[in-house]
Amino acid sequence: MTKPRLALLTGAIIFAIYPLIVSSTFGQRVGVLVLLAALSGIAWNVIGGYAEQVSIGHAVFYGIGAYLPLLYYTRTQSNPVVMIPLAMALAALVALAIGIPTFRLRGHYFSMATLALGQLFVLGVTIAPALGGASGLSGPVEQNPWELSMRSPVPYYYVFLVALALMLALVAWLERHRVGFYLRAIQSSERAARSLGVPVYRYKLIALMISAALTALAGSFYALFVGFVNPDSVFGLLVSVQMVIVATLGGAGTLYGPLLGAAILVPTQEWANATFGGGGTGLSYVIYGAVIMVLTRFEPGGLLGLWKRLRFRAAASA
Amino acid sequence: MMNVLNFAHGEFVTLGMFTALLAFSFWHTGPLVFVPLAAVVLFVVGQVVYYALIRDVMRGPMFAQVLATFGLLLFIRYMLFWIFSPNYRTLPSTLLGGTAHVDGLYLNYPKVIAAVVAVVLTAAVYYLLVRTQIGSQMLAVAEDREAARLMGIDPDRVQALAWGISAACAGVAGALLATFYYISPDVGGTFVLFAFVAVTLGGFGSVPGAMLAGPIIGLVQVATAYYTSPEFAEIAVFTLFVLVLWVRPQGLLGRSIGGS
Amino acid sequence: MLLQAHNLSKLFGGLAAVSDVSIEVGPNEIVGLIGPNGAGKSTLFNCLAGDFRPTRGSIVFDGIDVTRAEPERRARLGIGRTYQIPLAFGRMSVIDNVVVGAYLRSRTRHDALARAEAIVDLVGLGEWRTALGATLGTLGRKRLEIARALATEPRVLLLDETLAGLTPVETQEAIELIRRLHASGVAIVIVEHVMEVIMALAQRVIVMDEGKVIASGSASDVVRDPRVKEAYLGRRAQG
Repeated sequence: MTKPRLALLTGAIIFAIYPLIVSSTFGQRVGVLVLLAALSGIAWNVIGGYAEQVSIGHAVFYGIGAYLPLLYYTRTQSNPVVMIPLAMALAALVALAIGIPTFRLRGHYFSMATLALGQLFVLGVTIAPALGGASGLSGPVEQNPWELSMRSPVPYYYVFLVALALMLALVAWLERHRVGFYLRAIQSSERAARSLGVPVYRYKLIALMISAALTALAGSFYALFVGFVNPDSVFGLLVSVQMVIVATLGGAGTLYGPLLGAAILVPTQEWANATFGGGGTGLSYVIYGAVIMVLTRFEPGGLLGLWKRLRFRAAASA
Repeated sequence: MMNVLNFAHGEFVTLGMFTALLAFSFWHTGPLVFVPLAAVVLFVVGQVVYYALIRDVMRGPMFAQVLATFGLLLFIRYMLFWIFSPNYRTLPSTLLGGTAHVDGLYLNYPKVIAAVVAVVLTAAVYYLLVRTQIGSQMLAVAEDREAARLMGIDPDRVQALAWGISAACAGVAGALLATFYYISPDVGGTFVLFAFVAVTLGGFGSVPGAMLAGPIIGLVQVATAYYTSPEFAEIAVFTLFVLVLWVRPQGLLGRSIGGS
Repeated sequence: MLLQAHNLSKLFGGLAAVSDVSIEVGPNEIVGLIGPNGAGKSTLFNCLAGDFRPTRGSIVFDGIDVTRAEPERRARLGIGRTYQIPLAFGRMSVIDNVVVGAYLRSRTRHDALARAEAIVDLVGLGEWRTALGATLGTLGRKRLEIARALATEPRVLLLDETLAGLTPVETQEAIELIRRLHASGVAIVIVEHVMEVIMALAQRVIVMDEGKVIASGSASDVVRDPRVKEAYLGRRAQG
């Protein structure tokens, strides 16, 4: 078996049995958080990595996914899970609203617009009492697997793991078929792509909508896992930044990059929080900023990109 | 204008503010010293940022270019948070002369002076770009780096200079702001977004457009705060941004922008 | 007539890069487009291909007015093109590059791949199938661009200075390739500087200078035309 295949298989096994070998609740929680980060990272990757339209306000979609189910529950006391598909659709619609005007223009506009929209949502939700305002919303309290409300992290872990596998399968499928080819062509040279009949504008929108919907799903999962949302925790800049780092650290535009990024970033973050205490949040941003700068300056392809380069060099000099 | 969007521009403003604060706190100097000081400090910072980060990132993939300055934003802003804490500070309002009562209007000296300097600086930059040799070199490099190089212009030096000047302007703005506005690390963030809105509204690459857009945004901000409440002001500006993107992306005075 | 431009003009600011140009290309012709540097050949190409919108005039392809059509639409209708500086998809393999083009006429991945494989062999890039676009040399990239455009099954192919920068041996191979393309039924419009190539390939030649068409006819006629000589020599005397 080839080395990459072996690595993948090992990784898959580790992921599958993780909660069984780690018995502390803290450790299991970290596992769930890794999965959530991977889900949102992969979702961001579709538009940010494959199509290279950099969104730094993706928290908008995450937050929509997080808020809608809990809003429904707060109002109607009914199962929040049913709202998840609707949240995904709503996120896709908002994606259209951003994409339609900005994708006609140069890439910077899209990025700016996402940043502005992110801020807009944080502010808007904070001052809207109907949406819970600054204090936020809560989810179901009693245990009910159908409402994704459970005491132990373990069932969450496996639900999210299945979702992760499905998401990876989806992205892999996209990679191999027309969408993937067209997105990579667009990323390489829009001009050449158009001369080959690639509907650039349309495909950017498609990629963004898919990304938004998947991000919303991750947001919904988060909300039901934690049981509580407020504007900062799901719409805030930190959420957007984390998605970006998870994807780019591992390798933007690759299938497993975000997964790798999540597996490294989240445990490190949790460890740092536990060791340095709450004052760490400001410091996290500083480190994130430094990491982003280093990555973009030296290795935009992330860890997987670095590995590929080293392998190439080894093969070339062999 | 340099075809690289600097997300960290707002942080340069913040750095200007803190330079002013530090100069005042440690050396007890007034604006006459700390404003030029901020200009110098930020000029250096701008050049350093160019040589250390921007120059190499520009050669890489598009998404890295956008992210790099965003990373810089995070780094500077939260480093300032960490060092100075989120507490607001202010400089004494009498530094530049306080308030005068003229014809029933309260004229706040610091704000007036800041406005005047802003206009003068903008005009100076415009003049630099349009009338001087350095300016046309900058425009040439912005248009086509390689062609400019072939014409004997050193693109790195010119772009570093542009970054230095741009940062210096931001620094001056920050230092002046410090005389009447509160000083805090998150000031930069709001300003950079407002700056983007101004540039979009006015038209990318058009200095007169930005000059026109600035007051419009200020007006929207103040009017909204007056008629509804202060929190809505920021929202109004962002909404304006989204509207502009939808309705007239090239801004009021910008050229029509297409895809490639 | 397959492709026609009527009174085409393209102005940049006050400068007329192309001025009142009318040309025609028949279904299986090879037409050469020559002229000194700055004559407006590439601008004309970009108007025909859709990268630029003409300021005045119209372009008709197979009876359809495409003057304002986006490049994607023109590709779908059957206009293919290559670029002066090849724009290969560097991070994709040769075969993947061509697949992008093939998807225009194929619905499934299977069909697109099959089509791409055939074309890759046709242009002589068979052994480079899995190489990344960025690793190819100049001739390889030009071949790749042609292969990619071919995959879209164009009825007219616009070749923008395809033979620039090639060694004599490579030039011969390129001429052979273009002859094979022509034989398969594609109309070709080729911009070129090298006179020998034009003589070897073109059935008809159009000469441009300063944005206008100054001569048109068979290769041998055009070469003897005094206006053409003046355009080239005059340039050299000034330059």
